[in-house]
Amino acid sequence: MIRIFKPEPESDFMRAASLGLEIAVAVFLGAFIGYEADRYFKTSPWGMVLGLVIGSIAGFWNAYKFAMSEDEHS
Amino acid sequence: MNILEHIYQKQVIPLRLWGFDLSITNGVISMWLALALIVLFFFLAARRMKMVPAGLQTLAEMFITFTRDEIASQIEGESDKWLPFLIAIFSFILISNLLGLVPGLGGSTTDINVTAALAIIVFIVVQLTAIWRHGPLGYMKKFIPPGVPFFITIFMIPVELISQLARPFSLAVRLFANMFAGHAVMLLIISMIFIFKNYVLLPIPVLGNTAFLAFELFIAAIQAFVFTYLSAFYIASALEEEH
Repeated sequence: MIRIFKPEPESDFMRAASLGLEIAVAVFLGAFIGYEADRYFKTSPWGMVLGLVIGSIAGFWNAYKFAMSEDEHS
Repeated sequence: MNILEHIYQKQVIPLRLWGFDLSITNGVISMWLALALIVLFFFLAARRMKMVPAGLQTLAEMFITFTRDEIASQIEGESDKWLPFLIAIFSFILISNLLGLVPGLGGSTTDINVTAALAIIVFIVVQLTAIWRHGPLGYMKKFIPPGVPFFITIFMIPVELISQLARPFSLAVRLFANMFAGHAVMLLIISMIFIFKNYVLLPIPVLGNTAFLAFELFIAAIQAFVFTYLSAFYIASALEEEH
């Protein structure tokens, strides 16, 4: 049987509280991967710039998905 | 003198194997002690189980019921299946955090390597669960939001990859930073004794540290809870169907 995951209200709160760090981590992670790619491919600073952009989008994409799931459940 | 040296991991038994530093540190000993305490606690609690619980059995049942109702319940319908895994993580982090407050022992969760290892375990479990539930193709499909143009799809794969990777990183950093920062603040309060060098002002760091220690007990429990709670949330998300 397939079950659909429905977060409880307190789960929403905990998840929302953890989003801030996840956004920051995604931005740093993107920048770090870009920086390492730059060092390897000698493309500085474009890898880091692209990584920073992708990381920022990834962080906010997580927040957007959370907001949309909240919207769906309310 | 760097006061933070007291929190850093110290080598107890130096050990190098195949070029790797596998030294036994105080964090490793603290980790072994945490494991031994958990095994001993559950062994003693389950030794003579009764219908009406008493003593350690009551405590163990309360712990398990709390984990089931407050954490595992997020995984609807499968909470009992995931309960042993979540109890293992929760009890290990909780005892490790509390052992970190014992003077001279040093906690294992103030070491980023330990929290990172725990987060990697959760990450692997979550990804394998998603593959097992949705199949390799269904798993790959989760990386591509439905109904987006092709040129955005190419862009969305690395975005989705980083957003997945951010989860274990944030789990590891959150636990490590909270425990490390708590210990650092306690050390700084204690260091005021040596800064003031005054008996009149002595109650300030002593009382301050006592109050902060009580707060640290709370933080130790809440951080273990948060780590396990988010792990359960990620597992539940991995089992979630697209709808």
